[in-house]
Amino acid sequence: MAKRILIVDDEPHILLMVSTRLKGNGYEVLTAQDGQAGLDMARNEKPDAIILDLMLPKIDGYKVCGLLKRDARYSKIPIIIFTAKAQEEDQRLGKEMGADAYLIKPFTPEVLLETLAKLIN
Amino acid sequence: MKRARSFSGIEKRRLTKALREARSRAEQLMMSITSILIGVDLKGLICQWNRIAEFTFGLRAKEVMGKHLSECGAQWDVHPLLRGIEECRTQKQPVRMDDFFFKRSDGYEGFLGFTIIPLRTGEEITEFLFFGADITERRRSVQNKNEFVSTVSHELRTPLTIVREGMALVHDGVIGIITREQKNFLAISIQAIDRLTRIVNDLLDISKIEAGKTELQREKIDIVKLAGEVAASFRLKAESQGLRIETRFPEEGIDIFADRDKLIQVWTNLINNSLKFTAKGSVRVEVENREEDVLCRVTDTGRGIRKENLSKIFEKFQQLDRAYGPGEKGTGLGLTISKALVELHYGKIGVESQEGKGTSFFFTLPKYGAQKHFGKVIEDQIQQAARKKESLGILLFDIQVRGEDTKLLKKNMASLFHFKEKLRHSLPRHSILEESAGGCGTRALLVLIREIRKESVLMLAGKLRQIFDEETEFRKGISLTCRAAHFSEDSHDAKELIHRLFQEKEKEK
Repeated sequence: MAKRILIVDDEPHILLMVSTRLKGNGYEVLTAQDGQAGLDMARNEKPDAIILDLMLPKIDGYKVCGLLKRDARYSKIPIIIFTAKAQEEDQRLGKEMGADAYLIKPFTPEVLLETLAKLIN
Repeated sequence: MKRARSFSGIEKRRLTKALREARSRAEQLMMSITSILIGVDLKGLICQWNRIAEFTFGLRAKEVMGKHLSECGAQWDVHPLLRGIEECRTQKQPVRMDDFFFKRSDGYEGFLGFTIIPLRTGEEITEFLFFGADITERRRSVQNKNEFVSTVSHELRTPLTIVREGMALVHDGVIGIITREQKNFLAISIQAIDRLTRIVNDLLDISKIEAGKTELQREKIDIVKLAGEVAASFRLKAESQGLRIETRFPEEGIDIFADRDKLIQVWTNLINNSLKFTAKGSVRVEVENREEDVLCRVTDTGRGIRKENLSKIFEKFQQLDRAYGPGEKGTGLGLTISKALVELHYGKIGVESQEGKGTSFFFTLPKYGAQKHFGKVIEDQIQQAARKKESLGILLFDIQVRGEDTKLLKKNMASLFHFKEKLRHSLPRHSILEESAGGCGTRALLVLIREIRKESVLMLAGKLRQIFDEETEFRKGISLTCRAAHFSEDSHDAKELIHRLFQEKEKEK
């Protein structure tokens, strides 16, 4: 069965690009455009991995990450922080919040796919 | 006799008049000068206060004349001024002071940069002149520039991502089949976007470095292993250019205390650089264990750099006459960034080159442990403080985090994180925070606070302890010890202060 990936990003064109890439590589894709919708979808759908932007409307990415990672029901879902924030402080913050990987935009598809494959298996 | 009498006649009147005129000219000059000019006598009493001083501090000359620097009504810390005067007196030469903080009664806060000049009558120093300017705006504009770069680089990333991935999807055939020629054109475009991304990254790095905001995350790393990993990651790329990557490493690893990611960045920059400018032959990566430090080297068999350009090579945007090899184009910032990163580690970087034969970049890294590193930072800052006539408060925290089960450990790690955030926010401006992660969940934090009294250092230590206790709620498995020292109330000697900080720590164990 195809693995299901949830992508949370407020930029519709980023969602389009990333989901096209993932679908092209055999993944099933779910999308959400704000933190609250992302959180709800993660809880309801329990995807195999989450690709999460940091600057999101309603609830920001750090908080979404923290809420999922601190909840035993969802803490095992791998989270890849996917952001334009390239500062080290942000990366550190992401790591301390329990994120499994940190990808900076713009990304190379090879790295994204590799990271995803590593985390899911 | 006759002469003297004639001198005291018309001549004397003329002299008095000339003297009066000269004096009035000097006074007018002093008043109209467009810098701050403050004169102080040997007792520290103000005897000169020009219009710019009036304007800058919001105090009229007649309000402050004859008053001591500490009682003239200006809101500043008088101690660095007095220490500056003292140094000026003993060394008998001008003393420069930067970033001197002051407040005005209308709430304006600013920074001054000035020079203290000794005025002599004959051999004796009789007065000191403070000559300077309000540099608040200049400081702010540097800060604004850096914030601007950071925002722009962030804003560029989203469109860059969409453009790159859009083209990559077409290039990779995900959207549909394309011709070989179409594919080639897209490949060239993607390369250009990648270069643009590197420029954005480098600009961000350099602006952070220039703002002094680059912090090292030091940990224990094996530099030989790290160099080997980076060298290996370049093997494929080198082969595709028909070049060899050679390595020359000591048999055993060398542990140093450094920032892993930053060193990878330096190695990557240097190796990339060599590959870029070498048409045939090899790039050799070396690590040599020396007594005091580790010597790292990247040597190529490229065309070399002209002698007159060697000194310019670490400057910004210097893409010198080294004709490009088949590799990718650079940003002109890689070497500047590398130099700054090596120097943040208290290392040195350099280059040797012979035209037509090749180039060798090398850098050294000191073999410090955490304690020695903190010692070095403290020593450095004390020297700076001594130079600027400032005081320095030093706090050393040791935090132990353990957890009997994962749940408790996670909770404690979260507390540690929150404590560090709160600590950062409770520090006065211009404080320095250094962190080092030891093994087995120990964390050491070094806090240096400029221009603070010993009493306030101890109060701050108490406040931070309280924040820590509130955050951890006296939970099991997380504990904090704190040591404080003050320059120069505890000692004037850096070595002695360091000794005291770490000695007491040893005892506690």
